[in-house]
Amino acid sequence: MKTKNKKPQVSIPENEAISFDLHYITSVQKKEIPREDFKVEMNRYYGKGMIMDFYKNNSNIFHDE
Amino acid sequence: MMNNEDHFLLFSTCIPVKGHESSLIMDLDKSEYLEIPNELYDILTSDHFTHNIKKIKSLFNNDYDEGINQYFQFLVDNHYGFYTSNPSPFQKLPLHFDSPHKIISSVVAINKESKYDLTNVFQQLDKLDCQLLQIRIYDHIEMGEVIEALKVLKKSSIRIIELYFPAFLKLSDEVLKKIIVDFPRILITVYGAQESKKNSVLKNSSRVIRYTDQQLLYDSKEVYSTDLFTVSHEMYLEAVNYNAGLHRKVCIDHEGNIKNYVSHNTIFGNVKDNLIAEIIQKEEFKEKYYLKNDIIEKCKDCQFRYMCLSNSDVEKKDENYHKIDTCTYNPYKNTWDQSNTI
Amino acid sequence: MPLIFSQEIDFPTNRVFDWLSFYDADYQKYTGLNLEDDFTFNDKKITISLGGLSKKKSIKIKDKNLDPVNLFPVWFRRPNKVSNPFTGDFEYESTYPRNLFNYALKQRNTIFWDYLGYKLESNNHLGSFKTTGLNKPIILELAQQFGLTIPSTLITNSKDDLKLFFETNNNRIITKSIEEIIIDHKHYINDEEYHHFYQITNLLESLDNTPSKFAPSLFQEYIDKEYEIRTVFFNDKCYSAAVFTQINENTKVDMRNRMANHFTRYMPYKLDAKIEASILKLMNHLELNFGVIDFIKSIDDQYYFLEINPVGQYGDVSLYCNYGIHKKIAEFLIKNENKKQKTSGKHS
Repeated sequence: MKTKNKKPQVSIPENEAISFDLHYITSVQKKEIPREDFKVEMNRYYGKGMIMDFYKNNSNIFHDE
Repeated sequence: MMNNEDHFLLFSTCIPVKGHESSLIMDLDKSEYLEIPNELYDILTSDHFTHNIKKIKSLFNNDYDEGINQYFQFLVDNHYGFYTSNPSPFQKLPLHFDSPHKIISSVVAINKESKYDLTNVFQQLDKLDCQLLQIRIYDHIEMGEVIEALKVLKKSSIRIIELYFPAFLKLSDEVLKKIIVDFPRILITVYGAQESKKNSVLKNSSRVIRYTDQQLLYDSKEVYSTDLFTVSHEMYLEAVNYNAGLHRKVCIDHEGNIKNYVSHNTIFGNVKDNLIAEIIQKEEFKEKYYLKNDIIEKCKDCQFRYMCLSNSDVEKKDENYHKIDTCTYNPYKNTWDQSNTI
Repeated sequence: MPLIFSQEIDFPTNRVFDWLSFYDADYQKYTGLNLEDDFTFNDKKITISLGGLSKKKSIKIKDKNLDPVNLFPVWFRRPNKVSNPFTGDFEYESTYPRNLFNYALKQRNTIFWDYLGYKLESNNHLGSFKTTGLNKPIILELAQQFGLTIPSTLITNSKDDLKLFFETNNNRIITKSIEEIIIDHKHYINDEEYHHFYQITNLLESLDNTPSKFAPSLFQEYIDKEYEIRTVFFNDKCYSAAVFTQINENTKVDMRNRMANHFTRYMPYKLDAKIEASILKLMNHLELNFGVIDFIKSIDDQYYFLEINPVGQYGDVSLYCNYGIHKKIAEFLIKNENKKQKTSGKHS
């Protein structure tokens, strides 16, 4: 599918029933970040938690350039 | 832009740290640091909440006026700080570190002689809310048993499980793939491989199998390198208050001994006889938690001390603390000793 | 045992669970409809009985008898009311239109959750069921009544009056939603890319090419800001941060409009006592003990109240300013449980 630079369809008619701000719905094209990799089931949360967002390493014993 | 009547403030997540020869500003938001001269450190850590720029300049006998103008403007342009006419509502960053995890990290070693109950150890670590678990496998051991034991961690609160095992186990890509599919928390490192590389075995996934040509030894030492430094909000706060490597860490060596770190000599108990929860309550076990870089010789003079993670044992000699395994950086010369750097 | 109403995935809720676990506290989590999944009504069975000659009342959740129910501290973190309109993931084949059927489902669901909220609201609770959707103009009026300064505001469906307002405000005004902003939407164009639809506060520097007919809408004067202030109000205290959105042009008008690579600076901040006192009065009046409140500090040194989000995200302020709000919430829930238990004497 060719999608580069394809503007999304937001066409909101001018109408007495539609408030002014709704003419300013914006959209940006984004690339999906595969976040599913980082969410796992955790009993404690009764749902999913993030796993890769920890703030430090455990140890640094291997070092590859 | 600059008005001498204004105050210059660094953002509270931009932390100046002084080293013996050179200083830096840690940018906790961007996970970067900026090297600065020690003179600038002294200027930046003056009381800017009380003194405006004019007064700050006079505190340094107006010797650095031009330098102050240029540096402050540079720091403002690059979003390390800002000018304000009224600094009083701005507050300093509270420096306490609070963690809900009774155990933050753990290393568990296994070889073919190991006779302790791995499943039970995993369960205990999960109960203590361990967040980072590293499993080091030596020898020709039966991987199936380890994988079986890991099943108790399937819905646990452990975030990352690093699994290190030797290349000579010759596990196929299929087997490795199955492990990381079955266990989303597991990161695999195969050591002693022919070459260092990262293999992605899963489609549409960022997860990789890491191969390293380095060897894992029973006394493998910490590697210190600028690219292994961690600049983050929590790491900074932890390192200001604690030994960031050893704080709330508990390790089990291949004989089941309970230690602060696997390569340390001191043994506090054995999982065959003691509960981990009971050992980590002991004051002598927790002692190492508090030996932070600020009170350790050499480290206390190093500008990297709040981003450097070390699990080295710390010993007391003549009333001073020293790391047993230290790095090759020399803060008194601001140089890395090339002969030992990897 | 605290009862927590949230989404399936809400990271602040998870951080609070970490702390509840640290203190070995038991807790239950309930998700209604949620933002991430289509329809996970609940993994819990709920049974409420009342009436009859005996007037016997009971409430049971997941076979746990919550009687007397007022023993349980409750945290309405993200109750069902703010979730997506119903988009049940099931096959539906009927000539009765799907949208009307969905509407019926949503209405019924709302009444049920409102009732549950009504029953639990007398408990020691954090957050509120009934006020999750605040009426923005009413809040602005109340804020002013309690001593806060609000931006000059116009609500109109008259283009002529809008023009007049525009001119009196130096030809710079903003359009804002009178209600909450629209719900974000991801429109996938292929496996990897999507259009992200969202609504931001817009700056208008000209009224040319703007609609001439519109429903009653909200407009405000544009305020040149030095920085924004985000205040997390919790248990009668204000935890504030100056938020430097001026750093990149993208966030000048609206913080939500930031691109991934840009970042925002936060700095711990203390509002002056008079403003904090007004916030306290306003929140007490609204019977809210939690809310995220936005202000603008203008370049001419005025503090403008913008809005309250009763289910707002507070994680950024807590992390960047090291306020430890997750821990405080967990302690609040535990403390209130103990208090109740002491006064009632028996139940666990």
